[in-house]
Amino acid sequence: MNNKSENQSSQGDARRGMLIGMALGMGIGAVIGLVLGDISSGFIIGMGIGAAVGYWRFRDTPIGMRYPPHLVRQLIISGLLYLVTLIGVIYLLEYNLNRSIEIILVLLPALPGIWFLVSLGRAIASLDELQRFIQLEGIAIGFGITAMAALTYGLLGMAGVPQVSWMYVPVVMVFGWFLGKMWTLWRYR
Amino acid sequence: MKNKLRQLRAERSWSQAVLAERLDVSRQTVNAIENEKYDPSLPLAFKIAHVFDLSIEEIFEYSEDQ
Repeated sequence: MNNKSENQSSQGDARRGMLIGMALGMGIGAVIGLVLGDISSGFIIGMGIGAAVGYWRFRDTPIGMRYPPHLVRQLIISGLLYLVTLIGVIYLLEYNLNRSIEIILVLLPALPGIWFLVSLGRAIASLDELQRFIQLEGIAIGFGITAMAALTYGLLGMAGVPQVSWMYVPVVMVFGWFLGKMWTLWRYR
Repeated sequence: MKNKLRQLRAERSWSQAVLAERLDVSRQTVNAIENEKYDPSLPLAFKIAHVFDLSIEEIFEYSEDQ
């Protein structure tokens, strides 16, 4: 491939990086917004950060992760279903329902959640060896960031800093995984 | 580990994308191997050798400093 087409490919990758960053930012922002009670601010902040990180990361680097389209569809549908059921359950819990119904309700989002995890596992298994290694390293970094953040904030709580909801833990986990993946992708560029 | 992947690819006028397709890996993986940032697994090294119709030793060279 000549330099021109390699450059065009890099520009295309940067655009794709921005779009992926925006999509991820929207997802993370939606959860942050849900926790903060202002979903629109979460969306905007998440999209902005995601687009900036996506452009910066992929400007000179080809994107490696290309999942089969049917698995991407499954990931999007299961992820959206999870968000919809989560929002629906939070809404329904405002009403004082029977305790047994409440227990069934709060377990409902786990179904699309399991579908999402199975799809994610299959998507990662479909990648080539370097991509799987990058994912693994990203997950390891994300795990470390989450553990360190949770422990540090736990200690800050002992020092009188106000406690936050445990719902931040999965948000930090996903964000840590994203950061870890970006870092590892950059190293293998 | 040093390798001659870029040189061999250029001799055949293959793009990274073409080689990636032949090896059934991503372009990023080909790029990382060419830039010697990633050493392929033994099965992938055999596949690379097969695609270029060479032996592994003719493509990859072990260096003591790595």
